Parts: sequence; structure tokens; C-alpha cells
Amino acid sequence: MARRTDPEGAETRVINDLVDFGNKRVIEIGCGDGRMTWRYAGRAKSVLGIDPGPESIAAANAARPVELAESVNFRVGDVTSTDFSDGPYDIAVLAWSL
Amino acid sequence: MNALTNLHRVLRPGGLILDVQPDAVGHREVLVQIDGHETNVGTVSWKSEFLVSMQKARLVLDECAGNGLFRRGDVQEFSFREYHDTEKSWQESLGELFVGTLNVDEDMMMKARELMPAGRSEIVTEEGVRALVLHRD
Repeated sequence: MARRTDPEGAETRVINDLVDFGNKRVIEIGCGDGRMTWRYAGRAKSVLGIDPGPESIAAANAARPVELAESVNFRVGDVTSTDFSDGPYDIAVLAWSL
Repeated sequence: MNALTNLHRVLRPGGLILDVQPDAVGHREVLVQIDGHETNVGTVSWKSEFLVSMQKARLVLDECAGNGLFRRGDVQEFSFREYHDTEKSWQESLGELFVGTLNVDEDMMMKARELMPAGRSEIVTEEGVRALVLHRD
């Protein structure tokens, strides 16, 4: 039993065509389980993903590749309540959220 | 608008927002693919309250362009697909990701079930998605 999400790579192609993530500081709002995060995180300097669902954040942390352990972090929260004192950021990604 | 005001605050000048969200049509096409051949069996539609919420979010984003906080940049639309090799996989996906947000028609499910056993089959969902860039002023 398996699910394949966007195996054509349409989403990856479009977001990386629209935005240069290279060496950028990124905040992702509504990151869920990190599905979209992995499509650009390898090029970013750092990523902070936030989502109101603790289970989603746990899944995102579990799915984080070892090589991104230092540059990608996830936190439970939303855009109106989270402390963004570690900003400013270069890019905000709204991943099927707002 | 609070969310966008907050984003304006945490983005550096010249930073940007990349917004990726389903298009305003409000449904996903459902296809059954057998040995590479696809048959459309129907659609799953977003529930009306969720659709209204999505459309409001899009309106807020569209309106904030040119309000002194953000400027509208490039936009691209694309088809986003998910493939499931069993009905159970699809049902779990619906439960995990879209609980309470999608209407699933039982007749469509019946059609999919009738087609699935033939050959090497997958359930495919396809949805239009918009990716929009907003530049922080």
C-alpha cells in the first residue's frame, strides 16, 4: 500500500522556478508533515516550519533527513502567535495555508 | 490581514512570500489508472465552508498586493497529482489530510472499486494549484 505525491515533480519545478531558495532564511507557515519543505530545504540556509498541529510537527521532525538536522527546524504554532525573534527571514512559504 | 501584517514584520525588506494553494475551482478530479490508461470516475469537492475560507484567503492575498506592504510578483498554475495503489491508501490520505474538508461521493467510490481490480491500477487525484509570489515593500 503506497501513496506517491506529485511524482511528476510539478510542484518542485514551479516553486523553485518562481523563487531562488539558495542560501536564504525561510519560514514556512502551515508546514504540516514537511511534505513541501523537502522540495526546497536542501538549498536554503535555514528553514523554520510552523504548524498548529503537534502530530504534524512530530511527523515532520521524524521525516527530517540527517543532513538537514541543523538547518531545518519545526515548531508548533501559527503566524499570529509564534515568536519570530530569530528573524528577519528572506522568504515566507504559505503551504496550502493562510 | 493580521497574518500578512505579521509576515511583513518578520520578512526583511525585499523579502517575499510564496503562496501555494489549490485553485478556486474547489474540487479534485479522481481517475483510475490501469496499465497507464486513465478513466475519470468523478470528483471530490471541497466542503462549502472550506471553499469559502480558501477563496477569502485568496482575496486577502490579492488585495494586499499594492497596499504598501506587498507587491504582486510572478504566478504559475500547475496540476498536482497523488497516486494510490489501493483504495485503503486513498482513504487513509483523505482521513489524514482532508478530514472534514472534502465531500466524497459513494457512487464515485463504487466506480473506482469496479475498475481497480483490472490490471495494475492506481487511484489518481488531480487538482489545479496556484503558486503566487508577493514581494515585501
